[in-house]
Parts: sequence; C-alpha cells; structure tokens
Amino acid sequence: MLHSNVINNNKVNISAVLIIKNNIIAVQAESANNKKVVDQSVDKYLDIILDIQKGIREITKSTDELYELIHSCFSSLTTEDYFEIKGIYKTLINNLTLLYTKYRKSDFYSGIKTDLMIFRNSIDDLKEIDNDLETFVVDLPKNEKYINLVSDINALL
Amino acid sequence: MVIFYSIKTFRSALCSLCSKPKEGYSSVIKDICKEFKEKPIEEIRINRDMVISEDKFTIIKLRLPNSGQNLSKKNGFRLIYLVHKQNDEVTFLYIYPKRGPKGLITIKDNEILSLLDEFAEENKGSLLVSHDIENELEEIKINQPNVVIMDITSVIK
Repeated sequence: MLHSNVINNNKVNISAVLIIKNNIIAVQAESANNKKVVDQSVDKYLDIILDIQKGIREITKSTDELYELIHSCFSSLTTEDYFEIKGIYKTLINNLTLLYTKYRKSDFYSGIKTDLMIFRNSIDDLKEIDNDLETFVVDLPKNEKYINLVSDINALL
Repeated sequence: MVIFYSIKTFRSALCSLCSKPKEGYSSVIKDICKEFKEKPIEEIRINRDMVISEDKFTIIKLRLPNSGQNLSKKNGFRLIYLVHKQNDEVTFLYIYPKRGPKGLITIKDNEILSLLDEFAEENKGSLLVSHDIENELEEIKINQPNVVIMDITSVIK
C-alpha cells in the first residue's frame, strides 16, 4: 500500500519517508535502551555469580581444612572423642549437603558448576572420614566377628 | 627386604581398574609401586592414614595419588593393606578409587571383615600371591606346592 502511494504522490512520499525515518529512530532508541538494560542485567548476573563463587570457594576451603585437621589427628582419636563430635559433625554434613542442593537447584547452576563440583567433593571427604572414624575407631574393635578374626590371624602369623 | 603379597579380591579390583583406560585408573599399578618402592618396613608400618593396630599386625587404609588423572592423595586411590609387625611382610587386601565412575566414598565394616576373612583363609592355604614391587607388581613364583600363580600384567594387557 505504502509503496503505491510513494509512486503516485510525492507529498505522501515525503511524509511516509519521514514517518519511516522516525520509526527507525524510535526502534533504534528502543533497541539501544534494551541493550543497556540487558548489559546491566548481565553485569548484575555476573556480579551475583562471582559473589556465589566466592562464597562456595570459601566454604570449600574451610571444609578442606576441617578434613585435614581430622585426618592429621585420626590415629589419636578415641571412641569417646568420636561420640563427643559425632552429633555436630553429622549435622554439619547434613547442612552442607542441603546448601549444595540449594546451589545445585538454583538458576545460577550453569555459572557455578565447576566450583560446586569441588564443593561436593569436599563434602564427600567429610563423609569419608566420618565413616572411617566410625568403622576403624568405633565399630570394628568391638565387633565380635572382627575380634575372632584378629585372634585367628594373630595365631597364623 | 619387604615381601609384598595380595589376596584374590585385591587382584580382581586391580584388574577391574586397569580394564578400561578411559575410566582414568590405569596408573594404579605405577602409583602403588611408587608408594612402596625402596621404602623401609618401619615407614610402611607407621602411617598417618587410617590405622587399626593389633598384636601382630596393623591394618592400614592408605591414600594414594592417581598420577594418571593428576589427582592428589585425597582424591586418588584407597589401598587397604595389612602389615606384619615382626616380619617384613605386607599384604594388599583391596584397592578402590575415590573419584570417577568406580569411585567409592566409604568402605563398610562387613567389607573389611570379608577381606580379613579372605586373608586368613588364603594365608592358611598358602594361597597368597607374592608380587615384585620393583617390577609393576609382577607375580613372583614361590616354591610352595599350594601357591597359585596368576599373572596380573597379562590380564591387564
């Protein structure tokens, strides 16, 4: 429609071009504005990701330090020592697991994937050493089958 | 000179780890040998890792690196072995990785009991297999009528 008007009427042609021109400028302005909003949002998103990454790295470092501490004094820990820390230690593992799940299900997951995997490994480390304490320090020494086996092996060696 | 033995479960676990190089465990034999090669028995007996000490032997859960995957001791392999307190003898009971497709976080009481039971049985029947730590755990033929010779390296290759 507009095309035929342009051909047939010079006045229409001028105003149509003006309108088109104004519309182009308006859309351009809108586009620039949108780009600004997107850029600001991306910046905000990246800031949030960086903040979350920092938090995950800090908690992972603390978790690793706790693991190393328990590991370094493992051989001196007794059943009584284990029962003294058992409650808060298991609560800590549960809370860290919940925190991991929260991060894992968040909208930020794709941006924190690698840090989150390292954090999960650290939680697994705490679980491992808890199991080792329970098995090697608490359970086995009082296990009847173990006591009998030890006696058999001592007789064999 | 320290003599290294293994039970069947250890050898099966080792073969399983080496069977699929893509899983990232194929450095396991090299990593075990590196850990024990030229190490005096005193050093093998005294370990910072998880330990249960009995009259004539000690059970140790040792952390080993996985050099093939550049994984630290914490993230590498777990080797369960039994070391004699008077003789220079070490028996490998089990090995498993901490990470990856065959990764395990924990080992349970009944699994340790089963390993010790197997050790007692094989020791009684002279079925323990001896290994050359200087030569990729190659099995050494011992002049005993009941000793079973099984070549781990041929299974792996």
